[in-house]
Amino acid sequence: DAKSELREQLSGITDFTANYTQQVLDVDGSELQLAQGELKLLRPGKVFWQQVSPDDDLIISDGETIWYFSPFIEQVSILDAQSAISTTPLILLSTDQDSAWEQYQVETSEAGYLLSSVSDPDQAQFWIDLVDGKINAFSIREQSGQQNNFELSEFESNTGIDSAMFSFEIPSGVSVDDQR
Amino acid sequence: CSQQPKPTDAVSVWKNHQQQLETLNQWQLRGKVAVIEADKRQSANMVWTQQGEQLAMQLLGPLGAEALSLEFSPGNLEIKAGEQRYSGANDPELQLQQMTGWSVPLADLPRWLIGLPDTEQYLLNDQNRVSEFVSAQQWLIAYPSYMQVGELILPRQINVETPKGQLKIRINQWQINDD
Repeated sequence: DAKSELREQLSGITDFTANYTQQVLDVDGSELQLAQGELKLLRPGKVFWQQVSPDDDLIISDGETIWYFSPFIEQVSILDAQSAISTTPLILLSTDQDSAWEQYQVETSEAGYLLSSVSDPDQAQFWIDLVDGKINAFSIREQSGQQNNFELSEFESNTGIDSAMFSFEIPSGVSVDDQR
Repeated sequence: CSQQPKPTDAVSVWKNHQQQLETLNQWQLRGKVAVIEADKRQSANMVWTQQGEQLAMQLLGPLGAEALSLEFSPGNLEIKAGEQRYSGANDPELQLQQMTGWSVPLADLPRWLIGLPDTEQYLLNDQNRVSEFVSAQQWLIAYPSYMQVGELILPRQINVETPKGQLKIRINQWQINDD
């Protein structure tokens, strides 16, 4: 079925890097934010989002801990990765845990695979355009109707990314907001 | 702040710009907003849309996650913050503070964001724009940098010093919708 097909395609990707262009649209389709950055992923659980424009926020997860560094306020927020899994389907890109996947039903649609929450279908919905092991785009439609679209370019998979990439050294002088 | 005598041509350049700002009616900005207080720092991406007296403020969290949307027109306020909803005629600043802990001077921001001081206690920078002023509530509002927007020069960074801490705004993009 569509879910096992998607999980199989994803499991063929041990790691990938890509540049992304992110567009956030409000419920009536007007653009709220346009951002660009670099995304790296190492399964299971390791994710690296370096935004470069308009701001240089950084999000890193090593699978246990998530660091969200915001240079604008010179602060890093530290969160527990497991608790974040339920908040965003994006984490599904990097995890193969049945416990995470059980929360979603998967069907194929013209925009690629459509994932929606089993318990509450009109909660956030998630599309991923994944063909022949290449992720071209993914997007999240929040319950409010806000749409968050990511277009990927220069997608390269299975290049052997070093896992040391996915930890964050707190620069001196940066305030720590530990939310765990 | 000390009141050096302002050269007359600078004042007239500023007065001319001030009149232009007073006519601005429909504009939008996108940027970063941060509240920095003794015990906590919070930041978000902000989209502020102004249409006459109507304003909409959207705050986005990491990766564009929706954090808050606020719409205000005189006598009507709507706030959505996660699961919380408010709709009514409360004072917007108080309601926002109660719902989110964010203290944002919503009534003053439409003028401050475009660089209009609300008292005569202001200083001009070398571009003949306001470098800082003391607001009616005795806060210091500073404009460390400006940016060119068409033939206007508008704030790029705004720092508001309040008794509780600092409100910092860095504007990445302006859009003036008045034709």
